[in-house]
Amino acid sequence: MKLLYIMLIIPVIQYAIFRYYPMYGAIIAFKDYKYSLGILASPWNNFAHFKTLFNDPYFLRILKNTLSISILRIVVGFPTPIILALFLNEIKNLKFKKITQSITYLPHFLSWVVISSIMMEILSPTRGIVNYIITLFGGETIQFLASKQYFVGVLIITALWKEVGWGSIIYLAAISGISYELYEASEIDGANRFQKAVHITIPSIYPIITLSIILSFSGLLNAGFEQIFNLYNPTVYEVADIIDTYVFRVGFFDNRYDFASAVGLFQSVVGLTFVLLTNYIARKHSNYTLW
Amino acid sequence: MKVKSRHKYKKQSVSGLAFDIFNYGFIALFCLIILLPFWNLVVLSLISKHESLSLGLHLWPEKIITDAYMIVFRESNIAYAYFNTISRAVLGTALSVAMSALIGYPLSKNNLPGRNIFMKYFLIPAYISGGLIPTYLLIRGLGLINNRLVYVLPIFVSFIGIVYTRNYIMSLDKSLEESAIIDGANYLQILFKVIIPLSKPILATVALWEFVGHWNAWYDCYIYIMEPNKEVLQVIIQRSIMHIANEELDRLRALNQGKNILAENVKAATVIITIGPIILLYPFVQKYFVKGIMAGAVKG
Repeated sequence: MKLLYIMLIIPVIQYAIFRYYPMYGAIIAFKDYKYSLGILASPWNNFAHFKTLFNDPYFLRILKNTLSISILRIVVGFPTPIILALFLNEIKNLKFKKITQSITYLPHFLSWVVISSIMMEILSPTRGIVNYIITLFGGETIQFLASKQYFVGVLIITALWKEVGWGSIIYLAAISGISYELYEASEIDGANRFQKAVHITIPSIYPIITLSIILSFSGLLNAGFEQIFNLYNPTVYEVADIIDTYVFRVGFFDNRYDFASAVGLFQSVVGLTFVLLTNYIARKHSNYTLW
Repeated sequence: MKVKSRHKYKKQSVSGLAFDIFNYGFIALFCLIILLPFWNLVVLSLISKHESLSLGLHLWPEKIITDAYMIVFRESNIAYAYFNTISRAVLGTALSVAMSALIGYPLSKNNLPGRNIFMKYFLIPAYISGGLIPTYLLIRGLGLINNRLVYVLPIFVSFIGIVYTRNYIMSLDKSLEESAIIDGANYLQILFKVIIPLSKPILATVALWEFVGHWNAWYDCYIYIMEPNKEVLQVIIQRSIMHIANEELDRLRALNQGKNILAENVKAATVIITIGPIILLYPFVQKYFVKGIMAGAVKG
C-alpha cells in the first residue's frame, strides 16, 4: 500500500513547487513589491493596485475587448462545427469523407505562431490572395491587420479556419451513434434528407450540443491570447487588446510586476467563477463529470 | 425483408442528386480553403522579390529561387532550434507519460485512503494559477532563466494526462490485477508488468498530445530564454514576424547574398522548414489523435 503513495511523491512535489507556490506568490498583488526586499518583506499596499486597475484608462477597454471578442468567438464558433458535421454526415463515399476530414483537422495541430504567418501572407495588401480577389471584383485593397474595422473579423474567421474541422469530430461521433431505425422509420413516412437532418439528427444530439454550449461559456474570459498576441500590433490595440495581452505588455515591458499581478489575479478570480458556475450547470443538466 | 429490397432499388431523386453535388463540391472547396494558404506559403518561399510584390494567386513560381532557404540554413540557428525542439519534445513527453501512469494507477483505486484529496490536489491548479508574474519570479529564483530545463520541469505533470490515464485504468478488467496480487506481486510490479502494457493505447494518446504541445510551445521560450542557441523552432519563426528581418537582409545584401528576395520570403522558408516534417508525418498519425479524443470525450 505504501508503494502507491511513493508513486505519488514526485508529482506531488512538482505540483507543490510549480503550481502551488506561485499561488502564494500572488499576494504580490496586494503589496508594493520592491525587488530588493523580496515578496515577503515588501510593504502591504492597501489594495492600491486594484484601485489603480479599476481606474486605469485602459481597464474598460481591455475588459470590453476581452468580452466582446470571446462572446463573438462563441457565437460564431459554436454552430459552425455542428453544421460542418451535418454536411459531412451526408457524404456517402467513405474514402472522400476520411480524406477531407483529415484535411480539416490539420490546422488544429499547428501553433498560432505558424498560422499567423500564413494568415499574414494571405491577407497581405501587396501580394495576398484575399486582396487579389477583392481587386478582381473591383474593390480597393484592404490592410486587414492594421484596420480597426476588420481586425476582429479576421480574428474570428481565422480562428474558425483553424478549429472548425477538429470541433466537428465530437458531433460526428455523436451522430454516428444515432440508431439507423429512426431514419428508416422516417423514410416510410416520406421524409427527405433535409427533414431527416432537422427532425432526427439534430434532436438526437441535443445532449452533446447543450453540454458544448455550457462548457464553451466557461472560457468567457479567454479571448485567445496566443492568436491575438501573434497577430496584433499597436494600430489595433483599441479593438484587440485584451486582458491577457495587456498584462503581458505591462508586466514585462514596463516592469510593473505588482500591477500586472493585480490584473492577473482579477482575471483568475472572475475566470474561476465562470468556470465553476458553468461546470456546476453542466453537471446539473447532464451526467457530465470530469472528476 | 421487403424494406431491404426497397433500398436496393430506391430511386435517387433529382433534388437528392443536386444536393449531393453541392455537398461534395462544398466540402471539396472547404478543403481547398484549408490547403491553399499552406501552399501559398510554400510558393512564397521559392519566389523572387519581384514576384513577391505583385497581387495574384501565386499558384506556382514563375521562377524558382532557393535563396531564401539558403539564408535560413546558413544564417539562422535553425539546427540548434531543431535540436532544442526535438529534445524537449522527447524528454517532456517521456516524463509526462511516466507521470500519467504513476499517478493514474494509484488514483484509479477506489479504496485508496485520501484518494479524493489527491484528486482535488491535482485538479485545483488547472483552474487557479498564481499568474504570470509569480511564476516568473519562481523560475528566476530557481535559476532556470536561460536554462533549457525550463522547457520541461514546470510542466512534466500533465493534468489531462492524469485524467485520461486514470479513467482508462479504471475501465480495465480488475481480474488481471487480482491474479497478480495473488501471485504475490507488489504494486510497483503490477504497475509495470500488468497495467502499463494494458494501457498502451491511452499512453500513446497522451504521448501524442504532449509531443504536439511541446513542438508548438513558444511562450516559455519567449519569456525565459535569452540565448539564441537555446531557442525552439516556434520562436525562430516568431522573431522573424515580430522584428522585421529587413535590416538583417540589408546586411546580407551588402555581402552579396539575398539580393533577389525579401524578408517575407525568408520568413516563409523558415515556416516551411519548421512545419514540413509535421505535415509529412501528419497523415500517418492523425488517426491516433482522433481515437484519443473520441475515447476521452465519449466517456464524458
